[in-house]
Amino acid sequence: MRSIKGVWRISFLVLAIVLCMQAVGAECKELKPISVELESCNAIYSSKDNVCLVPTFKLSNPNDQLILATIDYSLRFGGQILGSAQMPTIYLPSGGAMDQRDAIVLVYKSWFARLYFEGKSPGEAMKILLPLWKGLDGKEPAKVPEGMWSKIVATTSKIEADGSITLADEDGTERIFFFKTSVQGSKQLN
Amino acid sequence: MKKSALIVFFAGLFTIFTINFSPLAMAQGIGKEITVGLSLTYTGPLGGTASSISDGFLDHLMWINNQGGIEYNEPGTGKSERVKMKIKWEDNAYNSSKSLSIYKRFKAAGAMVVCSLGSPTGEAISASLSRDRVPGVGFYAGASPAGFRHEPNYYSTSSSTLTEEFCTSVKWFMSDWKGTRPPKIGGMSMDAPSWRPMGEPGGVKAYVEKAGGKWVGIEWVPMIVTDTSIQIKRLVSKGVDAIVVFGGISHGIVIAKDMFRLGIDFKKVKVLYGTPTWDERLIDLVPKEAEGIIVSSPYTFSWEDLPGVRLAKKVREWRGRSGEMGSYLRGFVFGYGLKAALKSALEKVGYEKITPTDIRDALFSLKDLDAGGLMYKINVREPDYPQYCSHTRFAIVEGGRFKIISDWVEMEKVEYGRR
Repeated sequence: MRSIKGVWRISFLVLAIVLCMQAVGAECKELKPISVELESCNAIYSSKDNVCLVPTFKLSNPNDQLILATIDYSLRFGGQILGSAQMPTIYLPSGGAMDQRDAIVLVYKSWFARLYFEGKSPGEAMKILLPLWKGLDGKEPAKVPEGMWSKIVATTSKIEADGSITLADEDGTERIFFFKTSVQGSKQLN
Repeated sequence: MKKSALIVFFAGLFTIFTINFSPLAMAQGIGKEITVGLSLTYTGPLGGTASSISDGFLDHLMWINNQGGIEYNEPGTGKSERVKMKIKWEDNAYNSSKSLSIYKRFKAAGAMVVCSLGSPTGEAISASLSRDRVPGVGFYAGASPAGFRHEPNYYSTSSSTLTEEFCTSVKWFMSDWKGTRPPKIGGMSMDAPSWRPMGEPGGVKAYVEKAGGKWVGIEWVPMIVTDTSIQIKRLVSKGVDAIVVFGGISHGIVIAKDMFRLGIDFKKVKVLYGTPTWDERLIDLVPKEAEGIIVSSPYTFSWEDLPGVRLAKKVREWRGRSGEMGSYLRGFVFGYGLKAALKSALEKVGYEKITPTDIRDALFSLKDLDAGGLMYKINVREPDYPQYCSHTRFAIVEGGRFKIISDWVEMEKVEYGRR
């Protein structure tokens, strides 16, 4: 009988502590932004028509709790958008880090058309596009005047990524952060 | 008895832990959410202009979420509640087949409304929207038979048909015509299949003749064009008084350069650019060539001092973006429409009972909604042919700036080319 009473008391104590922790936690827990670093952005396939880039982001969670993270990003190279995407939502363990990968397919003709529709003449579009294409390991596109490709100096600037991180903690509280990160050029893997 | 009470107690304690700390609970989200799918455009042929429009819409929705979500009064209780949008988005690259595969993923993710940038990308999913009873909002998209022919219709667009916008330009030009003879009116347009109805006899021609003008024809210009001299000369040789131009901004630039080089006097020949043909960059890209060109603008300009422009600037700063503000506003404005429709549907049926059809009904009955002044008003005039821009204004490029030269003009309703 006494032992049952003891168990009851301990149980109520545990319950009270849990409830207090929740209340205090709700007051004190301020989600810190996770760190997002563009670890690499390599071309895994390239031809005269397409380049497939695989941006790899390293995510680190400085919070002492499990969080849900949804990241979206835009990749830029030489001032041009290479692609934008929202990646699948992931769980990031407390104090942990993990990689998240995506794939972006660049289409030469489509990129050329984009520059044209922005108001560049075909000549101007080619002048902007060819160094970038070469810098991303793209092969010589069709219809480039003979001898021109070998003279093109590949752009070597960094690939930049910027985007947003939507974090949710165990209370369902959401916070939005933004990030900017960059990595040096592309490297052909195959 | 006491042992069973203990078991019940511990089971309760376990449940509290499970509910509060399980990843499942996190995934489900404790707050109320409505899934919204955004098919945006960042790459592809229209990526240049459309990326700012996409940013504007996406940022506005994220801002609404960041401010706590959409506030509404729950009909059952009368209590003020909040719902956030669970935003799923992808880049459609202005590609119809990609748009369709994106739609399928949104559907699988439980999207209750899908917003798609562009006409062909929206048209590509309109049949699926009708089949699945999911409302679609085509923003920066024109109405067309391809988008509106499915029953029951769940698709809506920001703009009217191009024929209707063309005719609105004609209406305004005719109201300003001081000549004693019927004016001669012609057009130049990018040769896109869905734009062809403009040139058919029942389209703009019939309207012009009914309005008292003389139709001299439309000149079709290829998608990628470096010279439009022949088309311009053909129209000028017919003594044209007004040319209405539809194309991408590249067409706007090439045509402005060619007209300048050919010495076209914009005081004698009025040149009116339709909405897709220009944005605010026109005056930077071709400053001297654009002088005297008139533009039709259902959206306000970024230099106007309006609540919507101020909010968009604040949101853009919050998001850390820079770039073209005029296009950003063309996307930002639809955040107001979606927010209002979700609020209206929630207040009608409540969060637990809301269906995509309720959202469609709310979208298709938006009336006189003040969108921060970013357009005349969000106003669906015909629920069975839902378009959100009901009015446009005209501005002229003068002294390197856009000068507004008209009041809001109601968009014409032209049955031809709608279905």
